[in-house]
Amino acid sequence: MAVAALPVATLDLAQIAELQATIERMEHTLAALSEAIAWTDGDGNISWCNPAFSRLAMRPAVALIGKPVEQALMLTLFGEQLKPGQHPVRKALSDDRVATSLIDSYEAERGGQSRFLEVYASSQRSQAQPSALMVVRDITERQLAERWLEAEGQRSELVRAVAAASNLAEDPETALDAGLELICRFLGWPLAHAILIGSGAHLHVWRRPGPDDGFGNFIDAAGLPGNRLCGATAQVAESGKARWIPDVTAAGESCSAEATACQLRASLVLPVKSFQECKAVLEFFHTEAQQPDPELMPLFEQIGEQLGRVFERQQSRLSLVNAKEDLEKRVEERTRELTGLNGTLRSEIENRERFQDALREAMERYHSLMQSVRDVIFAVSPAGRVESFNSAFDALTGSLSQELIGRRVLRLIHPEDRRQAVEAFRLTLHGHPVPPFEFRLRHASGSWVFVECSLTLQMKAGEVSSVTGIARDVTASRRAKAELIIRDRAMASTSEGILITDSTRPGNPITFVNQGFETLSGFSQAEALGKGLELLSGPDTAKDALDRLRLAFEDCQPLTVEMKAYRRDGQSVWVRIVITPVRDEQNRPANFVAIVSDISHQKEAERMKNEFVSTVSHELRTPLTSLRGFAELMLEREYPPEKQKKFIQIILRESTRLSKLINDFLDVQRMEAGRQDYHFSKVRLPQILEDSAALFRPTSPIHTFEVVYPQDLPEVRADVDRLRQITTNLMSNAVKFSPQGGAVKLEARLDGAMVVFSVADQGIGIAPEAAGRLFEKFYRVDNTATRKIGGTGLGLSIVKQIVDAHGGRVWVESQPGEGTRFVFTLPVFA
Amino acid sequence: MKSILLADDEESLRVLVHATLEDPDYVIFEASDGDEALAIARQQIPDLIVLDWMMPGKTGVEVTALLRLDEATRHTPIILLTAKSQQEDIGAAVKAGVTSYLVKPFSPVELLDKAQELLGA
Repeated sequence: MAVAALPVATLDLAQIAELQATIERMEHTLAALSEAIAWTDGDGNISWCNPAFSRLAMRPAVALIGKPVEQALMLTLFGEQLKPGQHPVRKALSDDRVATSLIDSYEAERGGQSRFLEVYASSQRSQAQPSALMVVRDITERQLAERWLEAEGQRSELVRAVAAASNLAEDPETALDAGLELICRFLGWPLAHAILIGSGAHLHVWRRPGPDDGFGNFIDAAGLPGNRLCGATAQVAESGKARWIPDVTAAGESCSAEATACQLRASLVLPVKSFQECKAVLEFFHTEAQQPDPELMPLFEQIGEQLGRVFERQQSRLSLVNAKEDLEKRVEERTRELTGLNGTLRSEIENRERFQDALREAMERYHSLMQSVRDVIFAVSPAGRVESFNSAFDALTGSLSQELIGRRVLRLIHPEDRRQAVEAFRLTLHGHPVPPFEFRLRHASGSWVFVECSLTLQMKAGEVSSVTGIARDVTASRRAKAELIIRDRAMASTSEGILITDSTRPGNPITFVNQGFETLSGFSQAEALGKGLELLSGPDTAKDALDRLRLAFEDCQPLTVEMKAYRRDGQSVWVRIVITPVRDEQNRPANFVAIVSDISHQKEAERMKNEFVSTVSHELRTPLTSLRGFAELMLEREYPPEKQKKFIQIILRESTRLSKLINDFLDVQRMEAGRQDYHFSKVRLPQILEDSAALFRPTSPIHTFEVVYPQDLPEVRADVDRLRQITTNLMSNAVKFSPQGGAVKLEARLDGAMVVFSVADQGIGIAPEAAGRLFEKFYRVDNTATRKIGGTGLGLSIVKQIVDAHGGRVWVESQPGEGTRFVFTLPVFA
Repeated sequence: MKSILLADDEESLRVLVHATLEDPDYVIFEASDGDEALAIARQQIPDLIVLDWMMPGKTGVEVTALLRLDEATRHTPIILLTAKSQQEDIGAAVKAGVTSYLVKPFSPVELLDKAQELLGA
């Protein structure tokens, strides 16, 4: 409290006692208030708070004193935590003006529940020590009530009207009066009265005149006989529960005779409660019997509670007024006493003045709460004309608000946004709460300012008086939001895995992953969060890569590693991980961004290339060794002619093999580079087929070669040399992969617009899992049997390239041990 | 009489190596894959083994490693014929225990010199 800063030492004991009593009274008053109040010093640390504040913060006052205000009460705005310096107290303290006040709405988490808070913050610089005041009002109930209203239509209209009347009422009598009127209108019942329960005598508030004077008599006779409650009203006052009696003239009801006499039938009795205590009873009558509507009963209970608020307010106002009056009275008394004293007591008078100054200062602080606000606050008449603006409007729009008073507000709004704004205004006027909406406001410079606006209906004595609005500049946040959305989309749409870790926490846990990461790793965001990057490691992950990553995290260094990672399903995948440290404003390491790319294809291509180089190297060197070796041997030594002939035959065979290999390799290169020229023509097939078989017959006596085709086989459209290359490659494979010999069958037949060719052998066959990759370049089925056979792994790849270029298809049908049948199609020449 | 084992899956190379080492003082055994080479080496305990690296069944390097485990063949000189000339490949072969190696296409004269040196002729 500011009073504590008084120069106590110069006061006498009586004054100190007086002062302490005053402080105590003020503290009692503040303690009784439902608003949470806290003072902070110039650094924003809590120096004092009342019990309501400590309830709101859910910590005892001792645990809050000295704590930064953000820690004492964690505020959020639209679910987002406030940024440093955004706390209203900070904002108030950081303002250069001598005294600053801010009013704003925030949310806070309390016991797992989100509460809506209205926060007043005000700073004081007039004193030596700057300080700030924060007053927090929990407006959750109000917010919830408003939401409830939205869904409840006409009933809610009633509750709202009652609540409004109750809020506006100066005293309970006025509130109950309005309540009776509104409920009568709602129910369509003609008669009602209210009884205010006093400590001594009960008090009639109001009654509506009956069809004849009988109602007055009834009330007098049955309502408050001897100024005491009786019958239904007494029951309701006792139980605190509303009661609906369909027919009061029915047997068993008290006062049935009196009711019959003045033609009353149905009755509804409502309690008006404050702090669980029944403060008043409302009674309504109808001249016809009315069956109770169970859905209305909770509504009436709520109305009773709404009306009860007036008692709470009255009580807190009374206590405040009393405390204030008490305070003033004592100050006056003290002043009188002091004035009456001798001039030698002048110093004491000075002290008193300081004391008064301090009190005034404290009062000013309260007043300053209400003054300067950053948001634009305006009021618009039901006809849509501006009634008032605060000065924030001038700053926001660069125009003079005074010139706009009384003008139509619509001309300030962007034409495209007017319809929405008009609709929101219309709904608000009709009592429907409208969620905050955005529109563009004209700036004097001709540009547009994005504002977020919320509207509230203002009622005065049950009539619509105006619509007030709060508009906040959201241009910057809108721009930032748009940019964030674009970045989010970019992050979501890239196939690279992106993740962010929090390096301030032990284990450097993951705090974000994008969709690319989920796809790449198989881990969902939920599974990845909180885990470390080790999530991706597995049995074959290089320990060295993990160590380097850990070291880079520790030293806050960027790093690129390639390692074998493991997906959620245990499948391994080669990844490149690029990590980049991100530092906070204080240049401390805060996060790491890691980009994870799947480089399996790259690794596989590398592996295949290496394997190819090694295969080609082996395949080229082997025949070359024969050429060189035998040539050298024959030069060095004398051999008999038959041996020489054998060696030369080997040289010839191996040189043929070498040139075939080189040709295949060059073919593949040419086809891959798209440099293969095709000369398509009308090709007659029988000769080609017979030639292919004839080519192999002399080379392989252990095989029989069979050619099958119908006599009327049509011509195909093909490059004849390439077609020969296909059949030769397939026949050569058939011979190679049936080392035990057997039949090799070359067949051709017409199927629609295509001629289907097949080359079948009775050899070792191909496993189904290998069949799919057979046409890949450099792929070789790797087992003992095939290693013996040798080859470059290029033949079938060449076949596929050629068939594709002809617009045909090629595939294989095989079972291990049961031979292989290669099939390809070529188009009939049209 | 010295005995030599030569193993290569390529028939033409077996013919070449055989012709190169042919000598009345040598008995030459031939194998066409790694398993066969291993079996003959264990049975005959030759004085010299010439192995091709790339063979079906077991590679020359695998055969070498297995032979080095047996007391009888622990110190038998082994010449590896290889198309691999990369330093790391050679390193792996030496580590497995080959005594010497020749990169294809090798010179028969060089092979003969090496063989004679290892046979202590």
